[in-house]
Amino acid sequence: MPSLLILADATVPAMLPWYVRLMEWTMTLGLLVVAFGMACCLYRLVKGSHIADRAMAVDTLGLHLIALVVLLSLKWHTLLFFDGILVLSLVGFAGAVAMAQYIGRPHEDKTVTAKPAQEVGHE
Amino acid sequence: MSDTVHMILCLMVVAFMLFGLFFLGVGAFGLVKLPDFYNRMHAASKCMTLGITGILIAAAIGLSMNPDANPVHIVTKVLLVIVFQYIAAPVGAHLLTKAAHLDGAAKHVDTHHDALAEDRSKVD
Repeated sequence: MPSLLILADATVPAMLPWYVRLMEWTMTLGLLVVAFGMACCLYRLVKGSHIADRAMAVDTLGLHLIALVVLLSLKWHTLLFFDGILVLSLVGFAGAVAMAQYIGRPHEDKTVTAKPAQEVGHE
Repeated sequence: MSDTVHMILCLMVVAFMLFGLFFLGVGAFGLVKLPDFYNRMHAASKCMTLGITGILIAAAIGLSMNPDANPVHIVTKVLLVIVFQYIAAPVGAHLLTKAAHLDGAAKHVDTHHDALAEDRSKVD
């Protein structure tokens, strides 16, 4: 049954104490939540409707990547990838600032005035 | 480490992890469902920071339980990332939102106050 997939995690031995198994199940649930969040970010990245939406989606995707690295470190009991989270957060911030500089740049063509903000309704 | 301490640490990991995952999921859902860019940025910046914080605290506790690991190294690294996120996420979100406003990102019809546009029209 697909709905019991989390409870039937084959990588968790049944003889461990209940709290260790609960922790392992929480990490499997966490992987599912991160996958859902990444799917939401990819939807916003494709749909966009403004370039800043796409920049924000990439930034949020980086945060989900940090969560993914942390969850896998906990699941595999390793510190091998743990230095990566600092790099990922720094690169994500630098990317957001660079995209903001690009989006908010003054228009080179002076005959084109800044666009007035349009309004969107309910979908 | 006694069994009781181990149980308490495991349950703390589970609690912080569920706290972080809740905010991560809510933020991602808001990224899809909210109507305009400014609302979506609200969801992305605030919820994501809190969600990452919860997951990182859970990881600091959970990885420190490993007998081979040095807890001081792990906690220092996690604190560094949390503090950096708390500084960087609002700054990045503010810069990106201001740039999008300058570029004329679409507003929702129910927006009843836009102080930045009023200020800018006064200067012009």
